Amino acid sequence: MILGFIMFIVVLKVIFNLLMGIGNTETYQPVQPIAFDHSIHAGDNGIDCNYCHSSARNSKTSGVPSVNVCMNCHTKIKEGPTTGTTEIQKIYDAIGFDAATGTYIEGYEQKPIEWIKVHNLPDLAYFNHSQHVSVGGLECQQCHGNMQEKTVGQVATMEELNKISFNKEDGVEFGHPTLTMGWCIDCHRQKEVNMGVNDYYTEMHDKMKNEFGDQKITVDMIGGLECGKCHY
Amino acid sequence: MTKEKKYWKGLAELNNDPIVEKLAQNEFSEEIPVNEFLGDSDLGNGSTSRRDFLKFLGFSTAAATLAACETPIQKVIPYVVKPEEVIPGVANYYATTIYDGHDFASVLVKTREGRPIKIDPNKTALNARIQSSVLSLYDSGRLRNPMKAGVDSDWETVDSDITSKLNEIASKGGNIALLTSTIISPTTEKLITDFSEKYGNVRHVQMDEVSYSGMLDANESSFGLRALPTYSFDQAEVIVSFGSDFLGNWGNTDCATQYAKGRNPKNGTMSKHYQVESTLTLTGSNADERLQIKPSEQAGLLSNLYNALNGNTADSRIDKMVSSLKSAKSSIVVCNSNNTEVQILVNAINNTLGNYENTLTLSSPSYLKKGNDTDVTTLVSDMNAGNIDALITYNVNPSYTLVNADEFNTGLTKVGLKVSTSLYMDETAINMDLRKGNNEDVAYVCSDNHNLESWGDAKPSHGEYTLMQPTINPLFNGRQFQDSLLSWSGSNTKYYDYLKNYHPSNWEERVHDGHYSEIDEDIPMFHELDVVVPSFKLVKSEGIEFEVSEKISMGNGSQSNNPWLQELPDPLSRACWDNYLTMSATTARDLGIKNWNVSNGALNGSMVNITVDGKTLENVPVMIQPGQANGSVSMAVGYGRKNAGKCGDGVGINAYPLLNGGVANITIVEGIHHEFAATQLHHTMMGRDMIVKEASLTDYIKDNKAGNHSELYHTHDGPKKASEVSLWDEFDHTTGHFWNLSIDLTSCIGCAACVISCHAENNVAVVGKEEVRKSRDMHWLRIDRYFSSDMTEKLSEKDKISAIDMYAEMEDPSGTPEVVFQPVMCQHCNHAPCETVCPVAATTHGTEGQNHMAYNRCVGTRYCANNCPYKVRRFNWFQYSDNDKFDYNMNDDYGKMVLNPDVVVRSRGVIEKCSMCIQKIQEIKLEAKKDGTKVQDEKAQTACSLACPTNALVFGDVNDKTSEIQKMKKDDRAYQLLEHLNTAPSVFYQTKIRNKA
Repeated sequence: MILGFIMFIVVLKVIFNLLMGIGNTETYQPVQPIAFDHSIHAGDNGIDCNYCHSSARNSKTSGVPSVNVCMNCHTKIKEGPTTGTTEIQKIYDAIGFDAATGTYIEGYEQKPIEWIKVHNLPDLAYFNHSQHVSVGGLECQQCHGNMQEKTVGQVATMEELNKISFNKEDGVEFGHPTLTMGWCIDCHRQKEVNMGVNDYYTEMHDKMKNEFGDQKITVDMIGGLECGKCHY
Repeated sequence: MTKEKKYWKGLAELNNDPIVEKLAQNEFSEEIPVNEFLGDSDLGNGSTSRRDFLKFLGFSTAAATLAACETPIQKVIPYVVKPEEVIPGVANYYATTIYDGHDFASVLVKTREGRPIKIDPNKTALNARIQSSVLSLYDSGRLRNPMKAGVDSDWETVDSDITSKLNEIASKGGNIALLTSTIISPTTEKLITDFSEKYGNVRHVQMDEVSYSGMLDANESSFGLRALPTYSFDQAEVIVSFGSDFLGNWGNTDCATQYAKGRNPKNGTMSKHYQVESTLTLTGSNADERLQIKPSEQAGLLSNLYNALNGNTADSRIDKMVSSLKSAKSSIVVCNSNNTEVQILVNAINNTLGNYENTLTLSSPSYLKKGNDTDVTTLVSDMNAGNIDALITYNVNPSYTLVNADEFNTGLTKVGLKVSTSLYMDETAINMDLRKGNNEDVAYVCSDNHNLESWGDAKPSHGEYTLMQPTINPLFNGRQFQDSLLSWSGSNTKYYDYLKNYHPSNWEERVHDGHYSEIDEDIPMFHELDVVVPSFKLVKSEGIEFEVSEKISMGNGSQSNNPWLQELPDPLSRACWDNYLTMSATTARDLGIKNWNVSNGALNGSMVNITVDGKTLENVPVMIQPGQANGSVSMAVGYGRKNAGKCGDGVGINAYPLLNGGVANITIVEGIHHEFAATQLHHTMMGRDMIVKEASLTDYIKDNKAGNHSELYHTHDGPKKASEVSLWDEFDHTTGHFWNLSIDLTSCIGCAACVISCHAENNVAVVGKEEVRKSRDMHWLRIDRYFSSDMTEKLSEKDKISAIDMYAEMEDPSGTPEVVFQPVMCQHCNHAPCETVCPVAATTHGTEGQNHMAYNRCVGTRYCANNCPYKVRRFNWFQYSDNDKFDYNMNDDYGKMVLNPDVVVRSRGVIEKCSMCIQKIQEIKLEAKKDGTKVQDEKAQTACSLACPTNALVFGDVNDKTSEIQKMKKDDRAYQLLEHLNTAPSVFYQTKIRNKA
């Protein structure tokens, strides 16, 4: 009888964990059409993330770079350290560039590169990169991990993110799998609001300083947990 | 004992009737309409037993669970070479022009990733049809290719065929006719001149579906200028309109803006508006004084008015109007008549009143209407006489809109070369093809480009130019008419270069702005009018008179295949997906015609056959319309299309054959009835005058709070307002934003531009006529319309009428009603009844004053909708996207391109409602944050406030001390809807003030 009850609880727990795993995309790392290596670009060569993912500062999406951005460097850099010319040739095939002569082929029918999306949010959630990057002043690594040390794009695990120095400095510790709602909320509850100079916030911040004194003001205290801010 | 008795249900069972046996085997004696609620009609035909069904259910649940663990692969495909101006996720705006031959507007088009998704006003105000034209762009029923003899062809073939045939005709000295809508584009006019020079005998005929020919001819004979005057309704102290619906379909969209500007009670003065008409129009419903006449009385009354202004005695019905006109410093008299003589009389009246160069001017005339009825009639008779060798049509659909369409269609058989330039394979294109005549005569249909895919220009009035630029690459293999003309004229120039050459200076700046002013020649001012003023006798015919009308939604019917417009309720009848004969209750009673409600509230009506001038329309539904003059009936044009596309085909009945009006013979068709889809089934406020508060201007000047007194609760402390005896904990709205929306009922004219704007912004679904009939419409924003009743509480006290009789009579609208419009959307209550009853906290309150709705959290109990006193929550009874049962824009790869990517498309089983355009608010906040500035008041707009042509809807942050909204919140006219419920809404209204004593 008791054994049966324990078994029942165990089965329930297994099913519960299974169901909670739905939508958890941690470590998702699909094979991409081009074996692009983040560690060479952002790591070894120290290119700023925002150079390629330029719309992260202005738009809701961070943006996968268009081929013309790749060509800013790759008109000159025609061979890579690991894959030689094979992978770089794929960019040339997309835009129509003749590596031998160093010129663009006229009248070439361009073929867009079909990347596989790694960070998938459901349609019901609205997320805006520029709010976090330009206004909130977050570092890319705080949500995406140390991409400059990885090769292909991957959803970082929460354990990995908890080790990121920026998150430690901010006192953010995630308790939910990456890209789930709980994960967003974890940060919004812990991340201290940047009370620096921004005319938009001045009045609100002054009032909050009076109200809360030295108390830490986190994102949730300025409406960061309201449903309608992300779901509409 | 009883156990041994056997009871039969009837004689049939006793006799062992096989039908009874069969029925007993069935679980339900009636056929259950399974197909109605299943998305796929084949599902009901399977042979699956209940056990099998459960097995499948179990298997598919397990399979779905397993499949859900696998994340579906999504691709992300960036540009190869990204255009510099495009940032994915950020909208671009382009200034352009919309002109479809009927409506004109200078607009801003919002595009996302190269797709136009919304039309906002630029220089002119917008109406519902212009807002909707962005959906017509994505109409999958549009022509894909140029057609030759009814089959797809290509431009080379079509061009070489047409050019060689035109040359052949020209060499024989044949006649070529161009039949177009009014052309307001100066470059198109020039192109037509070039074309005429090339081929010689070219006749250019312009037509307007609902003609202004009489007025244009009158101005030509009065002033020597065939154009319409430009009006300044804001400058007029007295406005008199004889049937002209200048707030709806007559004139241009700016009339409404001017009208509202001249009617701001805050200044202590308002224009006084008299309307004399037989059919209740949008304009008439806004009038201070409205007189109902039969159409035949119009000319006589105008004559009487003219004579009265010159010292004679006025008809008793208009003596008040005459004395107002006489004492006013400025006034406007307009009339919708298409009779030249009547319009000359109107000119004479305006001249007598000294209105020229004051409130209306012909020295900067409007060119929006140029159609000429005589030319059209001549063309049709010439076609029938075999005198026309080639006919090219552009932007018109004469086989549908002409009063003598049959004659036109017969004439087509005698035309050798027939070319139609159109977006659709419409009635004219089809008829050209069907009516071949000679065997070698084939018809060509040149697929046109939509305004949003085209270059162009327009000269709406003297010295004013607007420019049109494409906002998307052509979706189909179309080509704009201007390029076709260039090609047929044998020119190699592209229209873009032609256009640019015509507007040589500051080209880029002008395209960016979308408009510019430049006066090339002065038109002299007119002061003296030298005409013989015609005179008409005041007669009244005995019979029932018919006239046509235009609906604000459908207009001339060219956008008939647009589901947004089809589902837009008519402001006055509140019915959608339909046209019908409107009739007063008295006339209906005399004829034995009825309207009645069925058990679910839906409206049914009698059907009639109507014959006017020898032409009969059969099985026409009748809608009893308060405000329709007794002895007159009316019907809207724009319906009854045969070749409009999947949404427009077969909706309503074509009233164009009766365009000229006249005495009608009406007979009831017994045994059948019509089912209406009306979104509002009660017509009066039933004595609850706290819903729309109103006062007269005189009372308002005496006391600014006139008509706006709070309902008080009696407490032990004395009478108190609901907010003073509240049990609620208040939200702190002192910090940050507090978004509010003010709706001024004085300036709201009920035009419904806001409703379509809301549709476009928020991906609101179209549900179709059947669902609307079941009160399942999805409009987030509705415009309630109330008629006044002849019964009031005071009257019942005076006449000693019992309360029951009083309330019963209050439900009946008056035959000569006063009308109010009240836009109602989610009121964003700060003490929200919906929030407290949601079992899953899917609807919650935001600190900025909005009531949030998280669709993904909603489980569809509908408690919130039941507890909402304003009834603004909408339930998704079905999946409205990708469902063949709802074959509108969201079941269509093209139609889906209009969806706003920032707003989720709701799925089945959730409640949805107005979010106060939270996506727009979040966007302007983010912009301000990035710029490090405060949110500018003028940037804070919802879709509805942005679309409003009269500025009746004002949105903003009441915590912003510079904002307009915080002034409006303190205004004496401000009140909250159902204030006594203490829901403390963030939306508030301003009392309606009428210019009455």
